[in-house]
Amino acid sequence: MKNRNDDLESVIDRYSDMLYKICFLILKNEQDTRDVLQETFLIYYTKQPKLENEEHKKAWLIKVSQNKCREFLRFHKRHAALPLEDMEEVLVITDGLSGNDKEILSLVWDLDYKLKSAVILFYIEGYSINETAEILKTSPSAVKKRLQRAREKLSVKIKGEIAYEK
Amino acid sequence: MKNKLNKDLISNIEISDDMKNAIYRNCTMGRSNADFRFKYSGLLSALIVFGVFALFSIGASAAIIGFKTRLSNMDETEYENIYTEVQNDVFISTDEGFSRELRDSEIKRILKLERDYYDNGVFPKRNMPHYETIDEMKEGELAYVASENIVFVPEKDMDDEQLLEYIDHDAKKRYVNIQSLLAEGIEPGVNMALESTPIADGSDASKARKAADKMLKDYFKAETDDSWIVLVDRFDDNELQNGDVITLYDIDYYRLGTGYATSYNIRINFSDLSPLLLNESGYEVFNDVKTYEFSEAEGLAKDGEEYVREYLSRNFGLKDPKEVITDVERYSNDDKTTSCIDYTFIFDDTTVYICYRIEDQRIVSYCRL
Repeated sequence: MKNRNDDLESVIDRYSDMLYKICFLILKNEQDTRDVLQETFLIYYTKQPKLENEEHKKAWLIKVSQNKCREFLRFHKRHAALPLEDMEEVLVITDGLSGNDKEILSLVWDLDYKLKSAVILFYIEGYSINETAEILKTSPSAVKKRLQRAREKLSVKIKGEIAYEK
Repeated sequence: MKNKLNKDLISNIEISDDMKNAIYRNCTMGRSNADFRFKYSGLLSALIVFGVFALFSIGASAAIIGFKTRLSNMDETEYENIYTEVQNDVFISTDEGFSRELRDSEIKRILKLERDYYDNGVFPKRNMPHYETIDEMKEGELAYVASENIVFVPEKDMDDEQLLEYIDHDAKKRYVNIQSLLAEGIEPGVNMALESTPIADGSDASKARKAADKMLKDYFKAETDDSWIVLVDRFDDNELQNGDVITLYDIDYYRLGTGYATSYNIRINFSDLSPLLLNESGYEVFNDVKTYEFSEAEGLAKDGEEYVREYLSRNFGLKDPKEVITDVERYSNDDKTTSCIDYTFIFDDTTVYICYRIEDQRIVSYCRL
């Protein structure tokens, strides 16, 4: 059986990038993102959840981090959420993106939590509607509704860039 | 199902190896937050989001027992309604959950009424109504409407009964949120603690708490009683003092309520019981005081700097900084005016951050790194 610390190290190595991207896009500042990741991995380390496979582990970590993001946003938000332009000054997060993608990222950046979390999990992480609903603890119909509303907001400026087909 | 959003949209957002290592190290040390400056950054959040903290206590008084009984005795329908709200409550800022912000006059009355609610067992005559659609709502009512996922606040100033309903609703939401987190096996965050940290007499924690109680009086002239929640948290840190591991204690003082009440955070270096952080925050600290245009504040910054220099020398023996950085805009709520000035004093071997309230020359935050 893997040593507990070795396991933590490999989980951080494997999933911290993915969690960081998702949480950063939601919280919009580095400090809170670091704290959410810290708390998420601490829960993993202390609770030692029994997870069937890597996919299950990934979903569990996203779910816990989303809970933490919500808790941060609702109950103890510590730092100001920064406009994307301010982040660009210190982090090269739009480097290499096309003009259209930069604009989309800017619009996604400003979506509210409910819409943004659904967009990230469905469009960027590639989870299905049902999986997204499971992670966000809501119904598949609510996820569809959120994606619909997100598309409406995003398509105000960018017609046809974001499609959703059954 | 086909997704056409570019999956590389956020591929440039990266975590550094240093951050990964810090997370690993902090986890194995049991630390729950990553950023040493986490606590004093609460100052800024106090200005941005007021209604963020609410705590429940298992206190000894009959009133508090009555309040806890009230929460744990919610009927099934009310609990389910609140649970739905909690699940939907994912607003970017607290204000987005309400049809309008609270006015200063209402906040001041809430500060008094929540003491009545939590400490003296004064409850509203009825629960805040929960409606499915806006059509069900009566004019001038304070009510949650599920279809809009918003608490509608009457346009006129709320009366005392409505403010008590507001406080009651807030308390119930936190209670239900805590229960749902616990049911999922997730420990609620430190700001949702249900009770003060139990401390054994004669323990290191007790020693740290006594030192913090004294600092509270010495630096803030503040007194606490049994109605306060006091959280005591120990951790080791090796990021300070040339890599040597030192033991720190965080002692946080809060009051039950909607988050407007004054609270204190104190961080102590246990080796010499010296303070690393002294922090006061809350509505009355920042908002119920005189504000100054930025240009006015800049004109007063020199006097403030002299006052802070004397404060640091007298209290901590810190003299002759290499550099002093002044920021009059950091604590602004409206990008025009401020009640406080932020100073960074850089010494040879340490840096001190100060939040200085202009009106009465009060040091509301001292943080030493």
